[in-house]
Amino acid sequence: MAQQEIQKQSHAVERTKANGSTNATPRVDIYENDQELLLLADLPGVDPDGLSVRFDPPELRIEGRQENHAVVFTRAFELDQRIDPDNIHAELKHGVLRLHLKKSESFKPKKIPVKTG
Amino acid sequence: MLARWKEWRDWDDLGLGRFGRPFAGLDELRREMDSLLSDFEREGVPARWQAGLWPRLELNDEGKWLLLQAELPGVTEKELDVTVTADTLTVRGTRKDEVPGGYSVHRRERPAVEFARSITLPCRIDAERAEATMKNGVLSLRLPKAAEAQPKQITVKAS
Repeated sequence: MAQQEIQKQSHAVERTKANGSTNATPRVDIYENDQELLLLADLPGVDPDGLSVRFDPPELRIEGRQENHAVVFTRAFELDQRIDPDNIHAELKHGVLRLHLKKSESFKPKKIPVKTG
Repeated sequence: MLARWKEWRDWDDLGLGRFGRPFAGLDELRREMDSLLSDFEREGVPARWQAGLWPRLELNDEGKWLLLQAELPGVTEKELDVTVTADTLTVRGTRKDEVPGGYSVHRRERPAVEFARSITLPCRIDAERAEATMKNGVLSLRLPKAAEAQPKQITVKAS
C-alpha cells in the first residue's frame, strides 16, 4: 500500500462543530503510476492563501480553510518513504486540490536489459 | 469518509435555526451512529451520492435577500444549470470523471456525479434580479426578496 490514513476513524463523522467553526474531512482520491502518487481532494471555498500542505515524512497533512472561515478541512496520510519531499507540486482549481507527489529516483521502476548469452 | 452529506429533511438543517426541535441533538447523534455503522458495511460509491443529497447546500436569510451557497468542488459553470422561480430553486449539473489515464487507484471517494436538487424557498423572491457566482468550487446565489417579503421597520411611538 502506498499510503495509509492517520486516525482512521476520524473521517466517519465528516463535519463537527467546535468553537464557532466547523471541522471537516475532505473527500480524497489517490492514484499511482510509475512516476508519482496523485492525490485529489475536494476543498470547496478554499483559495491558495487558505491552503497548507505539509510533508513531514512519512506524514502528509493537508489543511484548507474556507475563505469565510466557516469550515476547516483537515486530512493526514502516512506515505511510504518513496516520495521525494523536494518534488511535490500542488494546484488548486475549482475547489479541487491536485497534489503530484513524485517518487524518489531510486524507487522508480527501471527496465533491465536482458542480453542474449 | 462516505457520509459527509447528511440527510437534510428540515429547514433547520439548511441553516435556518433549530427552534422548536428540542431533540435535534439526538437526531444528529443517531445519524452519526448510523453513518459510523454503515461505513463498515459499505464499499465503493457512497449510496448517498446517488440519492440526490449532493451538493451540500446552505441557505441564509440576509434581510433583504436570501443567500444560498452550494459546495460544488470540481464543477465549472459550464456544467451547471441553476433555475429559480418565485419560490423554488433548482441546481443541477454533472461533475466529470477525473480518473487519470495510466494510473492505478488506491482510494476513490470522489466519484463523478450527476446531481439535481430543488428546494422550496422560505419566502418569495424577485427571480429577475437573482445573481449567481462561482468561486473556488462554491456557487453563491443572491436572491433578492420580493417586495412583499422585505423586512419592514416598525416605528414605535411613545404614547
